[in-house]
Amino acid sequence: MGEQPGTPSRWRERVRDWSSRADWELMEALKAGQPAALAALYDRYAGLVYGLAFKILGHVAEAEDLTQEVFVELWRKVGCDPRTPSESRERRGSLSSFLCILTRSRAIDRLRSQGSHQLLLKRWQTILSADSKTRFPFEQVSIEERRQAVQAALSQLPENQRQILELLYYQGLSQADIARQLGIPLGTVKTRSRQALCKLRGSLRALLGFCSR
Amino acid sequence: MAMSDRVSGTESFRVSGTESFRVGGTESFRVGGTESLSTSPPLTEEREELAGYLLGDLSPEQASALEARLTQDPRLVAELQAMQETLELLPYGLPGVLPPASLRDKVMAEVGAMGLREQEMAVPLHSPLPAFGVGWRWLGGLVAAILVLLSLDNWRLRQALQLAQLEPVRALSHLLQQPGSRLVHLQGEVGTANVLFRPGDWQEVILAARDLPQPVAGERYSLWLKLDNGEFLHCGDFQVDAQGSALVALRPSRTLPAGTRAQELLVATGSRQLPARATRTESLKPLLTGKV
Repeated sequence: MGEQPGTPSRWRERVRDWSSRADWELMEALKAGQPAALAALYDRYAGLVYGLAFKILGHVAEAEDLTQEVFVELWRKVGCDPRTPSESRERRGSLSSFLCILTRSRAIDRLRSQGSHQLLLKRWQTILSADSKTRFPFEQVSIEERRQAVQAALSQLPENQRQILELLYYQGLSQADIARQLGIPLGTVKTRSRQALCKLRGSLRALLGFCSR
Repeated sequence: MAMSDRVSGTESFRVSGTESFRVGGTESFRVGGTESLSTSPPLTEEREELAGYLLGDLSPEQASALEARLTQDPRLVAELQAMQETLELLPYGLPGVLPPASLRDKVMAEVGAMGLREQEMAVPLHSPLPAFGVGWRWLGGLVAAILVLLSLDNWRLRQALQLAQLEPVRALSHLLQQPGSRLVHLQGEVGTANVLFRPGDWQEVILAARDLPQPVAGERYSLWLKLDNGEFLHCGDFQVDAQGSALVALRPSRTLPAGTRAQELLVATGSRQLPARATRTESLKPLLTGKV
């Protein structure tokens, strides 16, 4: 069947609407129970969530499962608790923070519940052999800018500091565990991790200004 | 101690887990803001102490002392928040890994199914659904699928427009089909609908529609099947809610005449006076159509 007069422009207008809306607007639409808002947020942040899930879990299937869980949780939470979205005109970036925290927390929970060294080894094998480093054509420019800034900031950290920070963040290991794993004193782990965070905080000052404005 | 193992009671300051979504947006902790940071940065050791607090390496006594200072010093709170935001930015440093396209469908399908469950609890389906008996049950899951499909139309259309057609909708419909069933997408200038049925068996038909305008007074919507001999078979009438949506189970009163085949489905208004099987359709006002 051919397109009816007037239909394409009507739809195009709608679609443009969703993809160009700010996070806080989409969250408002989410509260109103509009699945299209969730789809737009998925398009915007699925790469970030999936990438983090994959980094921590190291399994494609588990990363997919967790990504699904996170977005469904977002839908459920916003629908059940209207106070949930603190995303606002003033505080951009809080939604992505929320998604990252939720993803990380759930991923580490899963990791701990499985908790075997074998899984750990397998995870790193998978990560090292992964050939899936593709870009995100659908992500917004601002997200790409954040990526570049964070990657640049991380690259400026001394390797021994970055390694500890990543072990803390992505694997949820305690500092004592890291000290044992790396064979270095606990005090050194504490010092390096603090220095790493402080240095990152300085490097990302401009980005933090954007996020916490 | 791992970051996620922070003792409870520090949630007021530490942005973690789902709490962070609220605490992070609590403006009362943001007195001073970034302006004060730029003019009066904390000492290095103060920052390291905050970093240690976030990373969970302070002793309970040290943590308590810092928390007491936090209640008195908005600048310190702002700095703590900036440190927390720094941590939250770490995932941006990961190389991009593209999730499979099918994952999006799964997420939206689950959300759609959740919506259906809530709808079922709130508003029971119209009769004559119960009259269909056990044979009707197989359609339950697909009803959810139709609802999902309808809800997905908006976001699907973005891809569709890129292709200058609505092919993704049809593709999804195809995926949702199960052996022995057909899903036909109906569209028109306004609104959209999907009809699920078993080919050759027009005893059971489910229609889900949305964005339909309210019919004029005295008229109802109806679903018609156009046959290859030019006749129209009336499948049933339905009404839309205030949002122009409908989910109905229709049971046509007649089956297809022998030797005929279904060609097209139509949603129209103004059908009430027409017989169940008609050749004259002048009084029909088709809004949506779809090829069978």
